[in-house]
Amino acid sequence: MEIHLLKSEMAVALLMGWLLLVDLFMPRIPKRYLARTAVVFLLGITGWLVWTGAGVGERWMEGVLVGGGGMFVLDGLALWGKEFAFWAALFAMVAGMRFAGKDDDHLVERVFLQLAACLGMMLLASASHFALVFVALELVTVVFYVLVASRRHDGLSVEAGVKYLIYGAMSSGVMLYGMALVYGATGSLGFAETARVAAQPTPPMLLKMGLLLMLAGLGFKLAAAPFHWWAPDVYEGAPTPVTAFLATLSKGAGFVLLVRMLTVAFGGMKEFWLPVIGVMAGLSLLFGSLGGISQTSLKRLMGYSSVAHTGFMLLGVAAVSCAGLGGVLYYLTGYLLANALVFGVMCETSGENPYQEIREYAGLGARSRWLAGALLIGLLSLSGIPPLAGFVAKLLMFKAAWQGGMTVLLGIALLAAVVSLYYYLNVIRHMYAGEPVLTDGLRVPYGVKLLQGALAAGVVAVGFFPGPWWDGSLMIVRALAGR
Amino acid sequence: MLLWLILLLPLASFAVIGLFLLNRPRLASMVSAGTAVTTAILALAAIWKGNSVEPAAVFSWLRVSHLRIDFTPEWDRLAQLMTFVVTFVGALIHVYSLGYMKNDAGKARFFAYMSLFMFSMQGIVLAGNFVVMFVFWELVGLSSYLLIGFWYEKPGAAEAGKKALLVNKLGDFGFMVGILMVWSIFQTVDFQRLGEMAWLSVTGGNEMSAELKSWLMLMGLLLFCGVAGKSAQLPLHVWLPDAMEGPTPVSALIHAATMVAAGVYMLCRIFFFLAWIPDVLTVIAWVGGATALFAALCAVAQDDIKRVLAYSTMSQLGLMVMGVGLGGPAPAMFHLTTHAFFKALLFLAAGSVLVALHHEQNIWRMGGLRAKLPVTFLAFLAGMLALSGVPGLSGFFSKDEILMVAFARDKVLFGVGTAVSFLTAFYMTRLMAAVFAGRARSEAADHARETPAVMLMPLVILALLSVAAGYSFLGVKDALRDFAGFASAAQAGHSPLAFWILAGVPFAGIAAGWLMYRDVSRNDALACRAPLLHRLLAGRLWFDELYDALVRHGQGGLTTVLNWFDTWVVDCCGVKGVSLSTMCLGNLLRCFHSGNLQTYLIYLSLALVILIFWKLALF
Amino acid sequence: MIAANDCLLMSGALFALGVAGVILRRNILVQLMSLEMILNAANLALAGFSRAHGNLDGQVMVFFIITVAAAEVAVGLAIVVILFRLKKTAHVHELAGLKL
Repeated sequence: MEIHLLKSEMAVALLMGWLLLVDLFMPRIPKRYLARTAVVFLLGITGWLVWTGAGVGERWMEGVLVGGGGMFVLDGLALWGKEFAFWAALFAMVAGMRFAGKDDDHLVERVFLQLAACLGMMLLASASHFALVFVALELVTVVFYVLVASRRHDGLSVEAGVKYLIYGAMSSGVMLYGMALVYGATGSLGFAETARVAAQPTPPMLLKMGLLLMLAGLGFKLAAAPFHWWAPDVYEGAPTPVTAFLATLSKGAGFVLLVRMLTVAFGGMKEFWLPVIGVMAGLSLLFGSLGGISQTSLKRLMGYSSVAHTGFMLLGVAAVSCAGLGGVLYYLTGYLLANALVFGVMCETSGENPYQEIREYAGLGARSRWLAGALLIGLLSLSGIPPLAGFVAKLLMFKAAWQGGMTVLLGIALLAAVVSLYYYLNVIRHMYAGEPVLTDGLRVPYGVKLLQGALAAGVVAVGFFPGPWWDGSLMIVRALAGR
Repeated sequence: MLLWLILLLPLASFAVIGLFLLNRPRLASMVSAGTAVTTAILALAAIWKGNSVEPAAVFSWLRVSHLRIDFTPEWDRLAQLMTFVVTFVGALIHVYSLGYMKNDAGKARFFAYMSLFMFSMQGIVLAGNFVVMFVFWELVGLSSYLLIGFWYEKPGAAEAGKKALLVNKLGDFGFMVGILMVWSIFQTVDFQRLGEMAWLSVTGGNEMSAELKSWLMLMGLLLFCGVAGKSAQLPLHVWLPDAMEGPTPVSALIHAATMVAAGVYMLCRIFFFLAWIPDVLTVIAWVGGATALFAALCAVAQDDIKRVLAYSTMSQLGLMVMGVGLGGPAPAMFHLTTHAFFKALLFLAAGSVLVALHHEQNIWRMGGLRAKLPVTFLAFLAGMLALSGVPGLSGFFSKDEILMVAFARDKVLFGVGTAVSFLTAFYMTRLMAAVFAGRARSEAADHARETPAVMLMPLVILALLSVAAGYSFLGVKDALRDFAGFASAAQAGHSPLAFWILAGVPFAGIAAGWLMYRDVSRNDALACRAPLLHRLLAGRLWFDELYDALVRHGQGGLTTVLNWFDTWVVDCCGVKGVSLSTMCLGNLLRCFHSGNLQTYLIYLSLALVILIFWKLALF
Repeated sequence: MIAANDCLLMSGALFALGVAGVILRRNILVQLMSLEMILNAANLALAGFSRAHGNLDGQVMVFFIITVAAAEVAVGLAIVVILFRLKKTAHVHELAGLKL
């Protein structure tokens, strides 16, 4: 058996089990401590994964291990996805602990669910069989139904939960039906067999139809227009740490799957899916950037912003070059760090501003230099100001689009970059120059300061020294395309 | 490792002060000064090791297709000499500032900015390619802006800071375009690779096409724009006199010894490839000569002690630029070094005078300070004699080198240089006479007392250096002898005629000055005897007014047209139109998000149907 | 003998019905049932194709789907119960707190 390939997944599963049992049998241990222990353990697993490359070898970015009869692969992309899942979960867990504050009762359950979603993305990153894809994706999605509705006394949270549930379930149904059609066309659910059929000169109709349905389903996960309708509502209604998790892990999971599926399984049908991705990119850019202009809630704005960022990343996918796909991974790195910063600050101020009205951020610069600075760096990176990570990421996408000869899309992307700059700067303007609604100082504990400082340094470092991250992403994608 | 420490220690100091010590001014000043002194010691150690310093780790910063930008510290003789100047003078001025800024409310902020400046300046010195140099170039501009406007509550200071930033930006824009041209012509921005290329082309004897030649010429002039901005050359010189609104240590460090010299340093760094375009060098030489003469004339009629020194700085920078333009980068660097010592000395001594006089800056309200401030007087005297180029002091040797080159290359410029030399001695004597000689002409001058030791110590060290830096045992002059980049510049022969002229001129200037200003009254002797000339010079040939008029009236007609265009075409159709239509479009798209789940589901299904129809039925 | 095509047709009809149900019915419980129909359409297609291809992959997949669907419905019902407690309604049209 190749059970050792699942080491990191099993570690997370064990952590979940331990958490549940301790919480059940030792109710007197404060939930806070349990949650903190879980964070430390997860950090340990992350470190171990980074350190060892999970047994793939020293050059883990180029190596590959296959298990389960081709169902489960452990390669650069998979390990990258797992690490992304870890970091996203860690940030969301810390944000959740800061957010929970008074209603501490369900903290452990929330951490448990976050770990489950993390586990889902880890499996998804390795999945190269549609059955595993489906189960892993549902693990992520179903957990998010619960998380989004987890503020049970809050009507908006529950409303968002219902919307996410119905919309998400329909999207997974569409995706599943697509898988069934692909199975009908190829007689197998494995990526390898699919790739063989897709490489034929004229792929069967069923396969095309199946791919379209799956792209639609994935469009929901990525919040890509025209399948993004849920995003602003759910982002606004969900509890802030869950929104953070949604913006990072959920999107990361979608992109890792998209990259693997399109390059490995459907690499032979480029001409077919390329225009679809292009249209999705263009629409996402337009909806995401223009729709956000007159928003008054920062959380809702982040929903639109997330749609726009999906558009930018799809630009890289549509470029069908290693530079484009590597750029997507780089983009996700910067996006994760910047979002962790922005949502981290939002969780700190959530006590007095539950719906995150932008005007209530007025005077934040005077209330807490740290928080304002962290939010500033996060927003600037998201809007793509040099020398932060977001700038280089956007530059890479533009370059990939240019080399791919997609001038129209490039034009839309430039427009979107300018328009979205407007709404990010608007928040910053409020923060430093607005007429303050609240004036009392905010106290930020040292641990949070440390985390935010590290994140800000990360955003600057990834942007200022793109070399290592970019090389790594490129190596991963080259290895994937070369197989 | 050593080099990285020299570069990054000041940055660390800036970060530590900025983040944690803004409310602890004493500690902040100690941290900053301590860092500066440590850096100077490390720099000395690194220079001692010379070229055998282990090559610092190459640090690849950016790679975009052809463009590859590494951060590799450059550590040749040129960089070593400049590092010495920057760190050493910087350390002394930091120590001096401990005394000068002792009771200032913004002390911590001041030292944070000083550390930032040290970091950026060291970055320029160690930069190994144009892009890195440009980044630090801008950082230096920023810290200079912050320090000029340090007392931002004074309207003059804020204005001066803005002026400096704007004028510098003008030059930097040219510099940036020049860098882009370098990249597009040579496909690299790395100094070493460029050097190899230039040599190849010269030795290969390939005849350049006329088109390439004109491109190169344009490129050289654009790069010189950056120099003109930073080193205050005509016509971008207007910011430097105003920059004296900043604290005096800042004037000494940034606007006399280091930052303004960065332009000259950059010229020397890229000399190998300027040497390849002789026409550009000629332009540079003439601009330098004109600046030197113009500034020396202006200095004659200034009433503010710091402004006199500022014009003098400009004039000396003009000489250095002229030296480079005439094909003598080594003499220019030599003069840069000695000038850094004695001009920093003069500024610090002036600062000491100002502290003693409670910030009275008008020289006609001083007088008689010789007895009251003996140490300051001696230091000032040493600086003055060195600057005037009296034989035996450092200024003589270095100025001599530049003018010897001029004598060999271009007799007219030699004449200009001699005139500058005479004027320098003249106005410095005027300054000495007004400040130190005679009787006290104001209440403050009457009660002046010598400044504390922490301020005098740097003065003494700099005075010793000003006297001695020209002698070969200190090795400043020979530091660049084996620097490969300068080999192309032919060493000018020594002409006895020129030597005697140069040795005599300072004495003539001093004598003339002494005759004219021997008995100082409340007014300027020149203003009494030649009022028209005085007004012309005091008005600095009305450059500022000219710019103002250009800006105001020249724009007048244009602005009316542009205003109309702006209001009706740009604003209405352009900005408002675009922003309004964007807003409208945004709100339109927003309307899709009605909040109704079933509407969303219908959109989803519609999208799906259209997608399938488009991809499958239309094929 | 049932051919793969018949299965596909039938499942397609089920899928369309399910989608129509989710779009048109206002009661969230009915919508959840329609969602089940979409999943069952996929099940039917998978089973039919499995038979046509002569391998069992599709049928194994069906078991996974049934399990996951159960989890989904469990969570869905729980959320609907909370919603009903909070708002005394199970109609999607009355969910209009988050918009524009």
